[in-house]
Amino acid sequence: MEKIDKLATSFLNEAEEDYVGLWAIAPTVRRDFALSDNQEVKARTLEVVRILLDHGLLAGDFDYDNSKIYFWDERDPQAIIARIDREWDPARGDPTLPESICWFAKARVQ
Amino acid sequence: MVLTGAGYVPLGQEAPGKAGTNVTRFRKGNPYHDEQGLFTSADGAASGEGRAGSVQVASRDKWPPVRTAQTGEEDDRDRAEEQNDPSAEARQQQWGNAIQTLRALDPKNPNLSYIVPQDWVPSDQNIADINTEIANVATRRATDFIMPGGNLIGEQGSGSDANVRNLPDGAQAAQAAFDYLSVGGKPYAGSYSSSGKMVTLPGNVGWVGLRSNDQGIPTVDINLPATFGSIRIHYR
Repeated sequence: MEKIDKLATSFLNEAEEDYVGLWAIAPTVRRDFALSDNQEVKARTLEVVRILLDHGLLAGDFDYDNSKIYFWDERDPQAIIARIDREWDPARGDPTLPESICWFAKARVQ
Repeated sequence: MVLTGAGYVPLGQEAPGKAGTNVTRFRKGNPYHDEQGLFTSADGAASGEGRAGSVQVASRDKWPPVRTAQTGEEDDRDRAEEQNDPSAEARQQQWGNAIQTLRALDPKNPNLSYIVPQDWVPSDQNIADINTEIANVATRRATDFIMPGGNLIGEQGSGSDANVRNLPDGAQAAQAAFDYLSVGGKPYAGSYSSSGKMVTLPGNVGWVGLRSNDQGIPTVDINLPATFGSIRIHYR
């Protein structure tokens, strides 16, 4: 199994019981692939995200106050990837806990 | 030891300063000092009785005011310049806030023990230095929590990512961990996070949050971009 698949599998397993924020994925990609270039981190992270979406996870905004996810209207993986791509400016570094861009969860949550 | 006009003397001992020179009271215009112009650690370890006159005293070379003994004339001129500085009050405020944060994080931090002259105004460099110390202490505090004894806290959780951890004792333990990690931080206010369940850590080294996971299990998120990246701890 490729490294990227293993990483994605790890997050898919985590999504069995938890919401997975982009803020958690990006730094893990950075660490596991020993990346220093923000653009590379973004590109690799989007590869992981693509796998998560292909396995049925959906993206949404996470309501931290109430621990709820509000799925985006975009449900098509390509559209979700495009939105993340638009909202992620590598010049500002990786997504953070307060500015995660999105979280992922299984569709049953909503 | 402290630096006085007469050389180094231990904190708490009277320096043989200028004849007839008494303790300079520093309360006026700066609420972050005690009446002797002394920042002390919370346990009062540095609160000495005797003070040199109007000459700066410091316990560290790093900051603050490493001014050597000066003539009275030079001292007066410096003070006059400080009094004409329109940003002096703002810098004193920043300094005071920083001292409070550092004290909350690390009450015994050696940088908390020093004496400054009446109406001392910190420079931008003084403030930058203390903020660097705050960032270092905040990072160390979070790191020590995440890796007590050099090993990641708790047991590895779901998935194969070592940064997902499981700990026992549920909501109470999660709240205690969040409270501990939040010390000196500021509640983050943004969309979907305005209830104080997410906090920006001191020195802006990262964030900590308290939420429930998809199964309702209390979870603490820790995001330290420059060190650990992301940690999720589930309190089962």
